[in-house]
Amino acid sequence: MRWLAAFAILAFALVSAPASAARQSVSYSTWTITGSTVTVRYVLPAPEAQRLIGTELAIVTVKRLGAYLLKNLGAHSASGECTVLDQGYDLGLVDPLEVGPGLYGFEIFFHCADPRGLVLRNTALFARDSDHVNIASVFVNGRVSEQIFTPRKQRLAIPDDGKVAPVSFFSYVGLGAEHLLDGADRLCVVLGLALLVRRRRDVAYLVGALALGYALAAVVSSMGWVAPRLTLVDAFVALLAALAGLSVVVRNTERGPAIAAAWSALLLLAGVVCAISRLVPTGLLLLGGAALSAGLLVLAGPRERVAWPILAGLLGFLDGFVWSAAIEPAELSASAQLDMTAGLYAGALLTEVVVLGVLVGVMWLVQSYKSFPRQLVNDVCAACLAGLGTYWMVGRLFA
Amino acid sequence: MSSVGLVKQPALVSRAIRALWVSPQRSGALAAVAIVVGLLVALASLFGKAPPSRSTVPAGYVALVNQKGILMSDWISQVENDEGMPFESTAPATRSKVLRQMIDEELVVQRALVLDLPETTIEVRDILATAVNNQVGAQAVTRLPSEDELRAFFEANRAKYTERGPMTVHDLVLHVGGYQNADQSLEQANRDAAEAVYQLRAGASVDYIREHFGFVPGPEDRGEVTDLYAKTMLGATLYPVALGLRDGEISDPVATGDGVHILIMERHALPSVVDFATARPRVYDDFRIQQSNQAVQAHLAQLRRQAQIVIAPGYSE
Repeated sequence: MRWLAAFAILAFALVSAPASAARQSVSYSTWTITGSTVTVRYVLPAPEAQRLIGTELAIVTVKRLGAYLLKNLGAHSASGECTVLDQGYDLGLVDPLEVGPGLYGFEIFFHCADPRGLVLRNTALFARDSDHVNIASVFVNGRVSEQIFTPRKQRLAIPDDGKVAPVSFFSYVGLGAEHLLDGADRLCVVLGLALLVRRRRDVAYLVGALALGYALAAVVSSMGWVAPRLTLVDAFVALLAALAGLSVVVRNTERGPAIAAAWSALLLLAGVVCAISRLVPTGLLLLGGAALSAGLLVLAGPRERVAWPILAGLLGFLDGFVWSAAIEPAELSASAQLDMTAGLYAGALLTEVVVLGVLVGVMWLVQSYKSFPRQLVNDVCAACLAGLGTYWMVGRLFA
Repeated sequence: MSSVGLVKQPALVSRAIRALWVSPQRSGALAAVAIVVGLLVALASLFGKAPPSRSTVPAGYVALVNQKGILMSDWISQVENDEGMPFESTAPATRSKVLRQMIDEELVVQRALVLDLPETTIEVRDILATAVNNQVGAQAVTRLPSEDELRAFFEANRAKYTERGPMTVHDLVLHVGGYQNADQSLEQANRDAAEAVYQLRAGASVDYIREHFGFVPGPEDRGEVTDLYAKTMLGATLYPVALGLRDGEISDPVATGDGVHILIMERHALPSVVDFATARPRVYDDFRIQQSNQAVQAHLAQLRRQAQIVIAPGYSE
């Protein structure tokens, strides 16, 4: 059985691709409709732009991105496709803007001969990123409404009276749910937590811890004191997945303390090497991970009710912060930001609860069959989690 | 086992040590400590200081334009330069006006960068390159040269500080082309000029040459002139020829755009070497220019060392 588990680790580590990271692919747009003119201001984070264009050269990125956006942004009205206005000088049809460090900004003007029946079109980046989201602010006759463009919603109809209904709370909930389902690493943490559940009360503790994590993220992010280092957050989520898998292994084997000690020692050694090599944030992450792993794995078994909620709370906290960092450049009003954040968190939490519930339910159902190799399945799943989590963590830290 | 030793420890500490040493709760306590420490260390690495608020101007700045700050010190200097008085004495309206101008300038500069004008517009590139070279050169001339350095520079470039003497040179020209000389070709003019030179050197008079061959005096034939005037009068083609002529010598024919010339040097004073004291102001200026140029070249060499330069196949610099 141990050999099987070891093979499972190797097999998954070799065939798996790096999991989709915790960060969300987001862009921002502002649509201003004044009479027969539609002005769109599109802002894209530099890493997204460079991934789209495939180069880090700024001048190439700006030109190609401008041409790309011209093809993918548009407006249509009763008089047909609205024409793009030449902005004079040598700007042409797309005006690049200075929008701050780490961002690319562009502005395009459309003229609609007949402004009735206006439909805004935004198809940028959706073909490349199926989970890309564009957070939009639409100004019509001085009134603003917050909208989102997604792969399933690439067009927005503007009523002739200009009263655009803001996107509903449940749309944000759906977005939060999709984001979680797209993240294999987060799902792996939830799977690990499901494997650790022994009693019904454990599920309640885990759900409570997740909710507490999201709430804490909302409070801390609203204060504006700290900002996440997203690459390291991705790596830490992978570490949580590995830790969840190892917790199952440690609990189910007589060599648990040795495994816990070896894992913590490896992280400690890696952390020291990184710190000496002046990779200080990476080193601190690994050192913190070593101490956290040692503490949690030692608690595995006798005090696991205290240990596993810490994992769940951390997942909720980090996932919440990723969303806050993604929303921040949109500069939404306080109420719109609160609405969006609450919806996204609710969607993510709900999905985690549902996934946890389904997994726990399935496991309890099958364990009633004596012929079901429960121990084998537990061991293989735990081993895969540990292997995948380690692979992703190393890949994200040192790639 | 007592851990008190010779020093009496507080009761609380000794109880804690005993609890950790002998208590079955030890593993839980240590694990809790490990978790707390691990969390703190990991969170310290995961989070950094949040960027400053987009709507708050940091200390030391007077304004933010698209997140780029305008320094308070720059604004104060600009106000004082514009008004010619201390900042405290200037009116609020003036300060506001200067700030508005600085914001406008910042917007335009940012616009130029967004449009990548340094890469696409020659005038901008020239101005930027000159500005950088001037900056490098200015830094190099902060050190004043010593007298020994100036003297050494003077000795090494003596020819530059030699003053050439005046000359009395006559310029005869046989015009080619134009409606007055439609029949005159350059080849014929060269042959005539060669014959004229031969005859002049044989002792023929200038009047005879003019009458027989059709030479006319050059436009600036004015008797004795200074070297500088001669340089201006004769031009880039004839002046070097005149420099090589001594008293009474006659040049070979020299073709220029308006015809074929013959120079007759009546008198050419010998050049005089200026002494260091007289030439010192020029020597000082030339030395500083050389310092600046050397600094610019050294800077350029450093930029090349640091750069990765790839030239397309088939081309070279």
